[in-house]
Amino acid sequence: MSARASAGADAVLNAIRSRRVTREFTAEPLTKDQLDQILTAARWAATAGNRRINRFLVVQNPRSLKLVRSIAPGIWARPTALIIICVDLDLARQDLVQIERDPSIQIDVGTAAMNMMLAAHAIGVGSCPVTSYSRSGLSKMLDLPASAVPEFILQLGIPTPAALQGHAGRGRRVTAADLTYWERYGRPTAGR
Amino acid sequence: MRPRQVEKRARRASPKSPELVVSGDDVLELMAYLLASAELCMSEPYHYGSFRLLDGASRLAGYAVGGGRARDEAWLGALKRDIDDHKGLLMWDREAYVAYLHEVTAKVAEHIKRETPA
Repeated sequence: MSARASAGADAVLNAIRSRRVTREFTAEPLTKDQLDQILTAARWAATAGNRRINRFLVVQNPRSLKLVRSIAPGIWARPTALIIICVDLDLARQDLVQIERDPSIQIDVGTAAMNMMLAAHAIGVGSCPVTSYSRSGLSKMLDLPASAVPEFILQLGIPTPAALQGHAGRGRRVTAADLTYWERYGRPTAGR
Repeated sequence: MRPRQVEKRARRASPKSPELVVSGDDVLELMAYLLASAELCMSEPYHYGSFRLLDGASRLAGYAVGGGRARDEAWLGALKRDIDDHKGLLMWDREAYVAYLHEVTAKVAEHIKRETPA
C-alpha cells in the first residue's frame, strides 16, 4: 500500500474507532457547509440496487426542534440540528419496491445514518441516532406528507467538552473477537 | 411569570406544602413525552419502559425547579442531576442501573417521609 493510501486508510479507520454518540451539545449552530458535508456522506452511502428512495429532512428552526423533542423520548440532549431520514413511499412504489416485505429498506436507512455519523465526526460535529420517537407525532409536528415515512432521526451539534470525554473507563470494551465466529456459527477462533 | 402557568398543590395531604408551579408549556411537553413513551413501549425492549419512567421523573423535577416556587427546589435540582448522571447506566451496566433504581427510590421515599408531618 502506498504511503498516501495508508494515510487515507488510517484516517478512515481512526474515524470509525473514535466516533462516539454525543449526548450534550453546545448552543452553537451548525453551518450550511457542515450540513452539506454530512448530507453528501449520506448521498454516497451504499443502497440496495442503487435506488434512491430516502429523502433527508434538515431541521434547524428552534420551534421545530422543540416540537420534535416533545414527541421524541429518545432525544435527551438539545441538538442544534436534526436530519430526519424519510422513506418516500411514492418513490419506492415507482421503483417497484415491495414495501412491506423488503428488509433492505431499513438497511439503506442504516447505511446513510452511519455515513452521516462518520462524516459529522470527521468534521468535529457530534451526532446521536434516535429511533425512539412517535412516528405519528413526528409526522404531525413537521407536516410530513403521508408518503414520507420518518424512519430515523440524527441529532447533530457541536459536542460540549464533557461530551468529548466519552465513556472511557465504563467497563471492558467489547472487541471484534467477542462478536465474531469463524466458518461455523459459535466457533470463536480462526483456523482449524 | 411564565405564560399559561398552571398552579397545583404538590402534596394535598400536607397542609404546609407550598404551591408548586409548573408552566402550561411544561405540562404539555411532559404529557407529549409520556404519551410518546406509551406508544413506544409497545414495540421497544421491555426495559426501556423503566428508563422512560426514570427519565420522566427527571423531567418532572426539572420542570418543577424551572417553575421557581417548589419548596424542595434545591433537593429536586440535585435529584434531577443525580438521575441524569445515572440513567445512562442502562446502556453499559444493567446491574448498576437496577441498583440505582433501588437507591434513588429509597432516597425519594426517605425525603417524602421526612417532609410529611407526623
